[in-house]
Amino acid sequence: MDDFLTSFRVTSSGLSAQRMRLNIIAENLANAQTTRTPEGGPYKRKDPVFMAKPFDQMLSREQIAGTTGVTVERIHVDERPPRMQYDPNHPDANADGYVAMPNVDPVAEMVNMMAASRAYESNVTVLNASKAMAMKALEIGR
Amino acid sequence: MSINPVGSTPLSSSILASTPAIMGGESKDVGWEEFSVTLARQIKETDRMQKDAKELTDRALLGNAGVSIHEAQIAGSKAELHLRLLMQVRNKALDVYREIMSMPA
Amino acid sequence: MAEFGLLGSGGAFKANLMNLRHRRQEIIAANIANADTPGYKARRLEFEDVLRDSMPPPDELPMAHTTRTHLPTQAIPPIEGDLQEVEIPIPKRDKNSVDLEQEMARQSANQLLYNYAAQSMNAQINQMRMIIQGNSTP
Repeated sequence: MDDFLTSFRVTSSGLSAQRMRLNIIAENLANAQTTRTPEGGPYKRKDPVFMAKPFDQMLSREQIAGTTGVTVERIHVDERPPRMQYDPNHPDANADGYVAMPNVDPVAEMVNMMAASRAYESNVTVLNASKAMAMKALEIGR
Repeated sequence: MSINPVGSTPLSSSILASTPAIMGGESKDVGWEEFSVTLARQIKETDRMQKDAKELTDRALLGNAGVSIHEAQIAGSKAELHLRLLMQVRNKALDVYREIMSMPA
Repeated sequence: MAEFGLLGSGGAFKANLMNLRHRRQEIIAANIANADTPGYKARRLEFEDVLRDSMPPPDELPMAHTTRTHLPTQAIPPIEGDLQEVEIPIPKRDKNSVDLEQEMARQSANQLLYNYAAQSMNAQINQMRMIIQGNSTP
């Protein structure tokens, strides 16, 4: 026995997670050329770490097996070495004339962005379908 | 709770059970006594269904009490149908009574 | 629930629920309006648990007091709901804790259940009207 609020919760957790992923991709792309950060050194690309979150803290009395939402557990910082680019005129160039550029690959980020945006859309579709189903259920017996 | 399939309702079966006795009129003294029992049972059944439907609807209205909307709506529709049937049966019974009373002695 | 007369405790329950859903809608609207306000904390109106525990018993209609020795029937006081501020798992830089998607989903569910409550109230009224009029065809 299940109520339709469960699917709403699961789907909206998916939406939130995908939006956070998009935000992080935007941050990565915006900082693709950033050579200075408060921590020092070039910008390091970030990745959201998704984690399935069971709704055991949910209000529903019946424990619904298998319904888990998703949450961004933490934001992982990519520690791969920076891309060294030869540019002796750059203010941040080292003695050999190389600049440490962020380890962001714009093409990979774009691919990631499209995937995130599709995932977001599919969550919206599920939410709309759940709502339409509940609306149909309201028509029973009218 | 389980939802009885349409047609296997206790009401219709009880009506069917009492019909041959009335139609055949074989042995026992059947008549108003039988009908009143049926009617009483029908009233009790309808009341129980109304209460079940109310309980389910209240829980479904909360949204997270483990009752889905369609479950409550089906129970509500079932209860309403039985209530309508009960009213028709009552109205018909009253009509019959009036007809009998207006018969010349 | 004397003030609900023939609609009984069920009518009171639904009216209370609709009030609470209406308030929740306002709070969600405030959250969405402040989705970009720095430092704003999202608020939640919680009432389901309390309301479920105070659900009216299935037997309807309060009994009339015909003598002074009758005990008064217990009227269920309306539930107010509990307003809380919520945080998000990973805080944003502007200390705003509104999660737009969660708010939209909650708004959608709330609206749907409000409609359901209104429809259910309507059905109850119509059924009572049908019983009073004594004809089963509306």
